[in-house]
Order: sequence, then C-alpha cells, then structure tokens
Amino acid sequence: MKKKLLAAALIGLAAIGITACGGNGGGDGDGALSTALDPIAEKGSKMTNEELLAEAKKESGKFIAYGNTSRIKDAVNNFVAKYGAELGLNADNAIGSKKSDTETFTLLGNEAESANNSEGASMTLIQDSATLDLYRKNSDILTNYHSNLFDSKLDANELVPLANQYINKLFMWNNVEGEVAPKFTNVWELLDAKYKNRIYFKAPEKEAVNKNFLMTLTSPSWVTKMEKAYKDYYGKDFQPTGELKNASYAWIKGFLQNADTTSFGGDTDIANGLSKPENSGKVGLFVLSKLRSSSVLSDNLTVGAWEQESITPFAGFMYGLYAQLATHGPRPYTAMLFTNYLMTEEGFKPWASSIGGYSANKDVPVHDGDKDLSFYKNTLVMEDGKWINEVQAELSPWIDGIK
Amino acid sequence: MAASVLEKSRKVSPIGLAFRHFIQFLRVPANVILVVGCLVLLYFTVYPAITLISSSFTVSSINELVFLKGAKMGDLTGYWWWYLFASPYAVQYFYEPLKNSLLMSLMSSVIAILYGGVVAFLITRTNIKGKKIISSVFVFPYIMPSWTLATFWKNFFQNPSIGTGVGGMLYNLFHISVPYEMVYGLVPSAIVLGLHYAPFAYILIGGILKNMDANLEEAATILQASRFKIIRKITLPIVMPAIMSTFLLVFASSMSAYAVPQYIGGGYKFLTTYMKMFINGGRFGQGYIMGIVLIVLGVSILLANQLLTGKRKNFTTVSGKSGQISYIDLKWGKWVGAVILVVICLFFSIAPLVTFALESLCVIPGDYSTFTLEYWISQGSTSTNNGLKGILFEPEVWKAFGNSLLLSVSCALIAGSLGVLVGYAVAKKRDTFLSKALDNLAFLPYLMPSMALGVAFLSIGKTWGLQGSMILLIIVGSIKYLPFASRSGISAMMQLSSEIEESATIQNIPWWKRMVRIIFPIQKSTFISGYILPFTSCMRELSLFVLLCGAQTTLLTTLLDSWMQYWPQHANALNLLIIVTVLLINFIVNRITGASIDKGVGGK
Repeated sequence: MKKKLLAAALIGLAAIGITACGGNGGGDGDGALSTALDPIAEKGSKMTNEELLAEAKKESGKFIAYGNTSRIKDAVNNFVAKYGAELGLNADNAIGSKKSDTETFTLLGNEAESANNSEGASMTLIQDSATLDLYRKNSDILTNYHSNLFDSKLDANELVPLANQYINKLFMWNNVEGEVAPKFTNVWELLDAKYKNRIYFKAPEKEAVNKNFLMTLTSPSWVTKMEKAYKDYYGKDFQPTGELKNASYAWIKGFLQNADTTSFGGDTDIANGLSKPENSGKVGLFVLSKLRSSSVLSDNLTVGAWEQESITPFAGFMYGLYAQLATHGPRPYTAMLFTNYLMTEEGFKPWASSIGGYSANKDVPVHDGDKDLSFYKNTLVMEDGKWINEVQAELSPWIDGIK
Repeated sequence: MAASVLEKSRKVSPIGLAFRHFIQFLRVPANVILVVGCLVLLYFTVYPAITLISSSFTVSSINELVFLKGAKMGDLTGYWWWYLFASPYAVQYFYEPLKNSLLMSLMSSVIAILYGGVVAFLITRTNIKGKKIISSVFVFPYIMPSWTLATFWKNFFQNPSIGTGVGGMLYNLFHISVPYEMVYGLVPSAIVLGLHYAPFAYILIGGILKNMDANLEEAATILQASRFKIIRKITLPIVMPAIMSTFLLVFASSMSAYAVPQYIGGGYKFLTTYMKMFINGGRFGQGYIMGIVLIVLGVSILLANQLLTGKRKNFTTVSGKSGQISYIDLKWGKWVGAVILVVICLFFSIAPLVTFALESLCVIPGDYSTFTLEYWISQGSTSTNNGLKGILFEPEVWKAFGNSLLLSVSCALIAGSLGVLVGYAVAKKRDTFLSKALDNLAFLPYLMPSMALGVAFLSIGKTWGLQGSMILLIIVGSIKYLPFASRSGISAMMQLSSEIEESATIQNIPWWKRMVRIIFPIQKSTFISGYILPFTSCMRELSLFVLLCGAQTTLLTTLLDSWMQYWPQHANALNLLIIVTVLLINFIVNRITGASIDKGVGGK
C-alpha cells in the first residue's frame, strides 16, 4: 500500500513538474496550440549557442524582430555587431522594429498566410500577457522557446511563455515638506478624502497595463491580501455590497474615484510635474524608469517600495516582456540565438542603461541604485494574463465605467 | 450595292451590334476614362465601405474571443452591434461618446460661425483698417495642422492648480490660473475646433458678403431702417445659406476630429478617441461600427448641405455682384477694431509657434531658466535619456520626414492626375449618366470622415495583406484627396471651349498629345492646384493615417502623436518643424501659383 501511495505521489509530482517546466515547445500543457515549429524549438532548447549559430548560418532571408519597445532596434544592432559577419546579417537585412502588440499580432497573422515569408519577422517581444495567452491558445503564429542554458536562471513559471524582462510602475510621492504628510504604508489610505485629486494614474482605458494591473488585483490571492490590508487599516472586516463583490473591487473603485487620471498626457507628464516642489504631498503610480530623465527632479520623489516600512499589500505593479518565436518566420535558429542573446547581460544592455528595467535572468545585474527583481516580485502585483482573460469581459467595462 | 449593304447589316446579330457599338464607344478617350474611372472608384470607395460593414458582423480578432466565449475567428456575429447599441454598456461605450461628439461639434460650429462671420463682416462690409494682414493671418489656424491649437491651448493655459501642476505660458508670465474646465474637456475642445474651422465661415460668409448687391441695403437705409434691422432683415437672410453650409461643414469635420479631443478632451469620451482605443486594443468590431456611424453621419450631414445649398459645387460661389459695395464707416473704431483683430489673429497663429519653440527649449517643462538647444541639435542621446537625439539629428525624424514626403508626393501625383482625367471626361460627356456617376464617385470620399475612411481601409488592408504598408497609405491618401483634385479638374475643363481640342482632333493629333500640349498648358494653374492641395493636406494629416501606419511607415504626424505622450520637448520641437514645413510649402505654392485660401475675401 505504501509503495502504491509512493508511486502515486511520484507520478503526481512528475506531472506537476512537467506542467511547471512546460517543456520547451508551445503545446506544452498550458493550453497553447501545438505549432509546426515546436519540434525545432525543442531541438534548439538543448543546443549550445555554437550549435545554434551553425544552424543559423544555413538560414536565409531577412532577420526581423518585433518588440513593444524602441530598444529592440538597439538590441538587434548589437546582435548584428556580434554575429552579423558569420550570419550574413547587416543593417539592411537585420531589423528591430517597434510595434504595438496589436500590430504585431496582425502582422504575424498576415505573414503566416503569405506564400513567401522571407521578409517576415522571426521573433517578437510581446508586452500584454493576457493577449499573448489568448493568441497562444487560439492560433499557431507564436512558438515558445527556452534554452536549457538559461532555464536554471529563471523561475519555473517564467519559461512558458518565456519572460525576457520586466518593467515596474511604483507608487512615488513628492517628498518636499508641505500641507499633507505624503508618506503612506497601506494602499487603503489612498482612498481617504485627503488624497482626493492628489494621486496621478493614467486612465486605465488609455493604458492597457494599468487596466491589467487592476484586473489582476481581483484574483483570489490578491483579494485575500487586500482584505487583510483593509482590516489592518480600518480595524474591521470588509463587507461586500452590491457591485463591490470583494475588497479589491472596492479599492479599485475608490482609488480611481480619488485619482486624477486625465489632466496629463502620460507617465512622462506625471513624473515631470510631480517632481516639482509645488506638488508637495501628491502621489503618482507610474513607470520607475521615468526617473532617468533630466526633466524629472528625482531628488524630490520618494519611491514607496524602497522605504524601510514598505506599503501594504503592494507598492506598485510589474509586467513582463515575453520573447516568442514567429512560427512561420524565415530564420528560426537565428531567432533562437537572438532569444538567448537577449537573456544575457550583453543582450539586455539597451534596457539596462537606466533604472526600471529588469532582465528575467537572475544573473543579469540591475542598474546601480535599483532593487533586484526578486525584491519586486515580493512587493508588487505581478501581471497575470490568464486571470485577466477570465475576468476581462466583465471587469474591463466596469473599470471603464467608474466615474 | 446599297441593298446588299443593308442586307449585310441586317444579318448582324443584336449582340454583335451591341459589341460594335461598345467598341465604337471605347474609341473615345473620354468614354474610356468614364468607364475605367467609375470601376476603379467603385472598387476603392464602395468596396471598403462594404468590407467595413461585413467585418463588423465577423469575429475579426482573437482579442474579441474573451467576450465571445466559444467563438472562432471569422465566425459571424451580431454581438458588437448589440454591445454598442443595446447592451448595459451601450451608454458608456456609444451613447455618451456620441453625445459628447455631437455637443462638441455643435459648439464648435457656433463658435466658428460667430468668430469667422464677424471677422468676414468687418473685412467685407466696413472700412476697418489692416484688411490684408488680418485676412492673411486669420486663415493661419486652418493652414496649420488641426492639433496645433490644441497643444498650444494646453501649453498656454496649463497651471499648478490642474493635475501635476506644470505651469503654462499664462501662469509663468502672469501667474494667472484658469480652472480645469478651461484647459481640458468639452468646452476647450469645442473652442479650439471652432477657431480652427473659423476660416471656413470667413471664406464662405465673406464670399457672399463681399459680392452681395448693396442696393438692397441702400434702399433700406433710404427707408430709414435701423442698421440692426438691415442686418437682421437683409444681410442675414442673404448669407443664411453660407451660414448653414459653414455649420454643416464644421459640424461634420468636428465629428471626425481626433487629435483635438485626444489632446485636450480630458475625461470626456468621444467617438473618435474611443474608436482608436478599440482598434488599438484589438476590439476591431466596435471600432468598425463606430467608423460606420461616422460615415453615415458624415454622408447625411453633407447631403443635407447639398439639399440646403442646392449645388454642392458652389460652397464658395457668389453671385449678383453689383460693384456698389457700401462700407460701414466705423469712424475711430476702424483703428481700434483693427488692432484688436490683429492681436487676436496673431495670438492664435503666431503664439502657438512661440510656445512650441519655448517648450522645446526647456529641460524642465515650463521653467524658462533651464534653456537648452539639445532637443534640437544634440548629436548624441539627450539628457531625457530616452535614446533620442536632437530632432535635427534623430534618424526617426528624417525617416518619418521621408515617408511623409514620399506619401504626399505620391498622393498628389495620383490624385492630381486622376483629377485632370476626371475633369476631362466629366466635362466632355457632361450630363450623361456615366459623367454624373464619375463626378459623384470622385466626390464621395469627401463625405467620408478621415478616421472612418482609415478604419475602412484598415479592414481591407488586413484582407489584402497590406497592413501598415506605404502602398496602403498612398491608396487611402489618393482616394481621400481626389475630391480636391477632381473639383479643380472639372472647373478647369468646364471653362475650356471644346473647339480648342476639336481643331487638334481634326488634324489627327493623338489624344495624349492634345492633353499634354494643349489642354494642360492652357489650364495649368487650376490643374496645379489640384496637385498642391493633396500634397499640403497629406503633409499635415493625422486622423486619416493614425490607424494605418506601421513601424516602417511612420509619418511626421503619427510620430508626433506618439511622442506627445512620452517626450514633450521633442514633441514640441517636432510640432514646430511640421508647422514650419507646411507653412513653407503653402508659401512657395502661393508664390508660384498665386493661389491663397483667403483669395476673394480680404486677401490678394
């Protein structure tokens, strides 16, 4: 009997392990469709960079990489500087092209149907984890690939889809002494009347990642944390009422009603304006990397997450950029080599020049003065694409309708 | 002999006879142009509209599957129609944006008529001083891209009591803070659009006022009618068709305006901004339906305009010029009025350029002590640390500049040449069914709001696999600006006596030679304006292309749209560069062809 139980436990553990690691291809148990490139991705995952390079040399056609970041151009240029001579790539036939996620999906769809795809993309970086999840489950245009060379340097849940890097948006406030003490340690405090129109957060309907953050907050694990934080702040349990099904719904509604979401163009305006001395006590939830600009008086801003007593239960949120092979692209091995390159310190350089960018590879150091990725994973709301897709139809219009 | 010929002709079957007639018909170049023109334009105007409608009933994107559980790509669905018109979300996603767009358009029409009409009256019916300069500067806001005034408005009125508190020019210079509702929202959007389109009113109303028969007013004066009564009973009824035309044109243009509500609309939702949000979010079905609504509204409004004015060709046509214009003597007011008008006109035309220049020179926005030229001339990455160089050395800018230039030249050549051909064929075969059909088809794109036309071509661009390509942009631009060129072509050809070409025809000179050697040279200046208008319009167009550009086909205007969100100093510098380019082109055209927008009212 004991043996049977042990065997069952081992089988169970093995199944969990396989699911967690996700294999190396696309049809790997997370509901994604199998693609024609899966076997090659599987083979490539076990190859060294030298072996990938040897296979990539046999490929022809342009090498094009799409990405929801302008730095993809620099990354491709650096890749060409390193491997271009051996691969026959140069500035004319190797191009990094910035595209929105919607553009990328549409283009990859068109390229997949094209009879001659020698000019199509071979890989892409996608930002919206929810849409990525949808495409992986409903089309074969993307193939997941992760190399054994880097698997141990990432968390198991970052392999499928392969997380390449992360970006964070943090609570920051103007620390110049003024009428309102800016420091807060519990997110429920932001719903107080004293913060009315003193919080800056770009309207979720205009910024997809902001809406994704709010939707992730309604996942069961975050609802639990939000209810605990509610009790910590108000000294009583949260009571659901009407449309406010749980604490997260209540916080989202109260936060958006207290926040100014419209009187600026975007996070750049928030950072520039908030850092001015006259905005003492005002708070923003925006991209940390904005502090790199000379237009931001960063000494006047305090990053909540970095305070000794951080913010309960979260100090901001984080979203990833995911690397995927274009299933029908002309240069799959070059794409795999490039994906590996992006996971290295050298490949990540275009994003590492300032704070606020984090390679998924734990060995790649963060920018001086910044905290590392593991710190943020414990402090921030990590975007959850699968959950977002479960609740989006109901939550998206509800959030858009909050006044 | 005669009998045998008759017998032969009797033997030809009806089909053969029809074929023979058809061949004969096609031997006339004008007929070929009519047939080919109708087919091509039918394909490029009606087909996109049909594709748009059919796509709105189809699952067009995987993103839509979140809402349509169990559906597959390409499935038929009426879900988005229900969602936008009858679901619990219809108010927030459709009726409220529709209401806001209607209100904004209504207000902007009234503002344009009041501002443009009053200035037109002062210029044409009074002895106010400085008419030439007022007239020239008044039309500036229309020559400049539509978002110019919106960004100026923000740069000027922004103050610390609003949002994150960056001070605008008014606050920094005079410490005056206006309320939020004056900087962002429905009212400022309507004011800015009203100011932008006021030259419509100025040109249309001014054209009538300048040429109206003064005998009527003089008769009323002799009958001792008061000045107010004369204006109410004589002047206003005469200019009423022009006022109605202005109202409908401004209303239709404002309904499809995207940049202004996007930049200063604040928390208000509008049809165009929501349309872009849906398309960007991959919810194509909702975007397509909004495009259809805008097309239906645009076509209805402009058809109403045709019904009211009788002839759509004659928006600026004037009649009954008596040559006896009596100017109202403003006495000392002619100087005061002139100064006030010049100041107002300069404020809305020159001040934007000044604010863009100032804002592009400040490291800290609004802090004029942090002057720098780096956003213009830095050869390395600027201190904004965004990877961008100064715009004069930024490859992205020059690539976009090249794209804009290529697009504008291509559209001008295609639309301009088509306009000449359409003009030739319509004039040669005037009053025939095909002639009227081609005339109307060539005018149809004018009735379709820019952004809606963009959505229609987005839909067929996906079908053709041309999404984001320059070819698609050139097709859309050429179609959209064809009405400008076809109007020029038709009016040029209508003025040309057919005898001129007939004498060449008798001498067996081929058609192409007649066109190149005779017809074009005679009406050169009118034809050229049919090339120039598409060129300048393309250079400053945003709404038409904002949904269609890909990463390789970024234009100056779409680059600006993107930078506005992230890099204000670079955006202000780029904005200035675009305006200067457009004004320079306009100036050169003006010098070469003598054409100007205010010609016939107060200009040269």
